[in-house]
Amino acid sequence: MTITPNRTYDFIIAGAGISGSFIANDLCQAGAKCLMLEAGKSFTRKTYPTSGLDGNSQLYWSGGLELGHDCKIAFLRPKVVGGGSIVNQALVDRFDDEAFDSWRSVSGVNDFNSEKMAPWYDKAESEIEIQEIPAQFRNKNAEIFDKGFKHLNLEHAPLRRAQSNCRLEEGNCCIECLNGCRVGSKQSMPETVLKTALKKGLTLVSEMEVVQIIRKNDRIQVQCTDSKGGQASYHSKNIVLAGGAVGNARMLLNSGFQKKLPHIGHGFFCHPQFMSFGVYDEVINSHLGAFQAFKADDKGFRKNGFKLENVYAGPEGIALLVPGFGKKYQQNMEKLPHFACIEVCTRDTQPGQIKVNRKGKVLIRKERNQEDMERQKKGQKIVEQIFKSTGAKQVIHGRFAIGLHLMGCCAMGTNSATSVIDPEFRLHGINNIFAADSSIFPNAPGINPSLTIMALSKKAAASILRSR
Amino acid sequence: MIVSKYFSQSQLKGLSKAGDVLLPGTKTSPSFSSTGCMSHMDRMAAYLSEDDLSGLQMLLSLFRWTPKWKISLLFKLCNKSDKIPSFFGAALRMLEIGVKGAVFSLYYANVTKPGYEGPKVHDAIGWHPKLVLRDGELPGKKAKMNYENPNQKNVDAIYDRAKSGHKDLRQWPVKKRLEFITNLKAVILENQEKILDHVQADTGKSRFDAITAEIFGVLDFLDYLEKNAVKYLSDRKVATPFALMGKKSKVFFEPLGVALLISPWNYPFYQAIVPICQAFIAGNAVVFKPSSATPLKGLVEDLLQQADFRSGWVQVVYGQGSSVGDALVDAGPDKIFLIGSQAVGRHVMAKAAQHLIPIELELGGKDPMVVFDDVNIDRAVAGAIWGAFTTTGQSCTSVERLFIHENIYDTFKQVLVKETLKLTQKTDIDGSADIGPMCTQNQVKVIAAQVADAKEKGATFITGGSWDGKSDHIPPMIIEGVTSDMLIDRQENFGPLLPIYSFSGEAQAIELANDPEYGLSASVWSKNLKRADRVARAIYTGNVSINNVMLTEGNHALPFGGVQKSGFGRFKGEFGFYAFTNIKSVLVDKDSKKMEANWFPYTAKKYRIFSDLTRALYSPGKISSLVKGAIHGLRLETYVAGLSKNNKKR
Ligand SMILES: Cc1cc2nc3c(=O)[nH]c(=O)nc-3n(C[C@H](O)[C@H](O)[C@H](O)COP(=O)(O)OP(=O)(O)OC[C@H]3O[C@@H](n4cnc5c(N)ncnc54)[C@H](O)[C@@H]3O)c2cc1C
Repeated sequence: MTITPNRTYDFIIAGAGISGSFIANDLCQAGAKCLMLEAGKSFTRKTYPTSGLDGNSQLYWSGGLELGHDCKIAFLRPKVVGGGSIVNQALVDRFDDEAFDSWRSVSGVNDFNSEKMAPWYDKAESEIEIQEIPAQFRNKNAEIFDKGFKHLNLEHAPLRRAQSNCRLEEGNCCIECLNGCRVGSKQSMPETVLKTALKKGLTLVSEMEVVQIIRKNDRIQVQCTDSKGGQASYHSKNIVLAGGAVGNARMLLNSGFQKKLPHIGHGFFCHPQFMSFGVYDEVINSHLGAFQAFKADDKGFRKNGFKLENVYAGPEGIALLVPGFGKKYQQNMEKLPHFACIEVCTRDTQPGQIKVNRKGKVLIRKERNQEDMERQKKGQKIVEQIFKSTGAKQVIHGRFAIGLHLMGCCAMGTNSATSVIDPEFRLHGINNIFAADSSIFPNAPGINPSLTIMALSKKAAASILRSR
Repeated sequence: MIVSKYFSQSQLKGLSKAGDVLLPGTKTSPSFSSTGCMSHMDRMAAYLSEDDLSGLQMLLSLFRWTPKWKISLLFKLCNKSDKIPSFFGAALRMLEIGVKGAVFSLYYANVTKPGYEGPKVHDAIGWHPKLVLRDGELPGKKAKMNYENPNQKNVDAIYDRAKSGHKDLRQWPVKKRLEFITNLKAVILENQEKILDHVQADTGKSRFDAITAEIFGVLDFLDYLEKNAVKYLSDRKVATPFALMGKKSKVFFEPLGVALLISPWNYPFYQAIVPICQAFIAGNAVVFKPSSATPLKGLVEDLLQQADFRSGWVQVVYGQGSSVGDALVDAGPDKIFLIGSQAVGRHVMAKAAQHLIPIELELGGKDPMVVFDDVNIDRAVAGAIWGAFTTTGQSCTSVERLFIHENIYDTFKQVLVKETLKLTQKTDIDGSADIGPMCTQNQVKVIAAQVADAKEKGATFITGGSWDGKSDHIPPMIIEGVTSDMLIDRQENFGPLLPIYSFSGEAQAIELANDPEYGLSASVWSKNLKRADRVARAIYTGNVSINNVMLTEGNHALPFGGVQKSGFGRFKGEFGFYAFTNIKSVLVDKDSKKMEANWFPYTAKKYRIFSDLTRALYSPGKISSLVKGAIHGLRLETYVAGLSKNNKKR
């Protein structure tokens, strides 16, 4: 089936993730005619997958995991209307001076500055509800995190989550929301800005993957394939690339933009994360209730380029991380109720690269240098100390690194030889292709990216509207 | 046997083996294979990228033939992949993540095969998160289906399900569909006694009748499908003529959509499974309505489910033909296939006509058996008795009229009567009875009327004359002196009645055997095979057995169907595959600048060349016509090419 609607939109937004939804909302509120194209499916509270088996398959690219060329990091790349906001842990945090200063110095973009970004953060935060987990609902996994930090005299703070009403008093378990929040508490895009954008007339086409962007006489033509292999093309005056780091790189590389902008695909970062489990005599039941209530807030961590996260995962994920196989392995898994979990999230310094092969398939190249590995080791050492000091009998380090903060590949910068997006969120030298999502990160900030993506997207929308 | 759209049986065996190496089971945790979580493999596979899928397929194929200890060694090596540099390390990690990813996702997702009663994985690992949902958050419940006397809304739901079932089914290649047939065969074998009990409870037929026709016949048919379906349903190339040089011609055999199958009560299991599987294998979703007299309630769907058929593929709907059957027709299936009586056939066809639904009818017969004087009498008699009385005469191809050459008439009759009187009649449990009682009270009434009419008009009942006209144990009746004004001669009797007649020669035999109304099957008995062949050709009917009776049905490679008012269309055999297929013609040309000579613009010059070409091609003389044809063809092509160039310029 080839659908070729003749209508020309003001904007096509490629990708219905966090950035795409934020930008679409502001553009629609300003009266622009917008079309949003998303490769993933569209779900509602009633239809989110209820099993990890379907969650991995239906909410991520490539049926769950993607591997880089050396298969050392397993990448999780959301593919669903709402993007990362459907599956993420909803931890929201502003960047600190350290993050912006380093961005400014590599990019030459003066707007990367805590003070200048503050109003955009305010605006972003006004679109969603943000809460802390009340003390009485912290589960044992959170308590261990708390106790451990206190034992070791490390700074930590309550975590801010994008959530509205988890009804924890009814016994709800946050782990259930990792395949889409069925109680509608998580401030995912379909519950927030995407909803308002649709009310304002946004056209959303899901299961429609953008393959190529063609620029003809300042007009944009977008070639797509649907989930059944059919083709479609759409037309617009402008396009906002919001496919995330890997998604944007892929679209641009498949469209040949690297000839003019050789930096596309370079500068890929992912905050490699390492889950570790402490095994206790007592029952922890990390998966029950709110497992995630604290964040690390330690100056020393920041200096050493890592942070610790109070997280947990579904049994399929944990199973893949626990080493070994056979009877002994299964017996280990039977101790799952005794597991607590802390994750080391490293701020990676060695950039990777995204390429596409002849078929247009993504190839990820991402190595870690000595420094990056040091950061992991330092983090894991403290995790071990936390677990031991709180009575763990055994510590299990996960088999693989996980990459789920996928960033860069279309870095913002002032120099078109070393960056892709200009400070006004346009592709260098092209006035109708924009991006403000995780792909424009000039390096790894070492802080969870989603809130900053929202803020940048707000700023981008304003800039786009101003230039119209 | 688990069937997957994406993995072959041998790959699934590989997965099961690798899964058990990774998860062999403990005191509290089940082993990977025992949970049957593999039956959910497609939920995952459907979303894998092509490359990942083919990689996994390859690996699993490999595991199929690798001993467990070697697989175990491989995973041990994987544990050390960090110490193995570059490419090999990466390959091992990919293997580990790929296989563990598949195995653990299935196992730890806590999914199982239907009917699994062992320990649950989530209990073993203490995984019980809670989420209290309110109205508006609860997942939409699947509509509860009602298959018994469905009302209009239920019928709509049944067809909705069938349509989505068809959408899914048509994506399964024939070879994959056959895996379900293989499953079904095994399930039927396993459940043979249960099926026979069910059939006997509903029909009362003898156990031997039941096992031969309903079990053996069905398994043999499924076997035939396994061996032939791929061959007959694969795309075919056909010749492309000279005038269309450079193009290719193909035929696709595609499903029609939703097939409605309506079956009678005489062979309730055979007439269920055979048409269901014939329609299914071609990729149709099936709505099946068994006779309300012998519905075998719950049996067919249960067996299909055990064979892993998906819910929308085949649905069994119960109820009266007059109400439910009508509603099912009106709901607009893409094809109707009916086995039954003339009356029902006429009614359903009239309804189908309103919706222009293609229909195939297998109706009754009044089948003749013609015995010449050169036969082995004992064998021919035995054949006649079986042909007339098996399943108590309730087959559409039962012998209903026996013509015996006058030279052997008396001897033949004597043996026939003697042997018929030996038949035992009851619903047995050990297979020792020859025939059972009648299936339905209705049919008893029909026969009572025919018998009373014949008696009144002077027919002689050599056996069975003492029947009271009420008991469903109608004894086999051999009847002499039947004339054309008797009901028994004109109506299908569908019971153990055997009128016998004598004839004097071949021509008369043919004339008598040719019924004015019916034409389903016949049998011709003679040592002289040439004569038998002549007579077989001369009888206007759908099926003929020579020196045997009702045996065309014994070979599933032979098509089955009738002429005249015995119905039309063929099922089974090669032609049977086409009863449920859209035979699609495809002509493939290349995309090019070339214009076709027969397209516009028409010009006088083009007309002249074309007429030269026609004359050259189709005049006698093979070689000269080919050469001339080629010359004029070239002229035409050059001229057309010139035309389109000029056209562009204009
Ligand atoms: C499991 C998990 C947990 C996380 N936890 C946190 C957290 O707690 N806090 C935090 O700040 N961050 C977290 N993140 C990261 C955060 O969610 C992402 O950084 C963020 O979603 C990126 O936003 P984005 O708009 O750049 O892209 P995304 O939100 O990923 O959206 C991109 C969308 O574009 C679509 N797309 C891509 N290519 C195409 C194409 N060619 N055609 C059509 N559509 C396309 C994708 O399918 C996707 O839906 C987490 C991520 C994961 C996976």
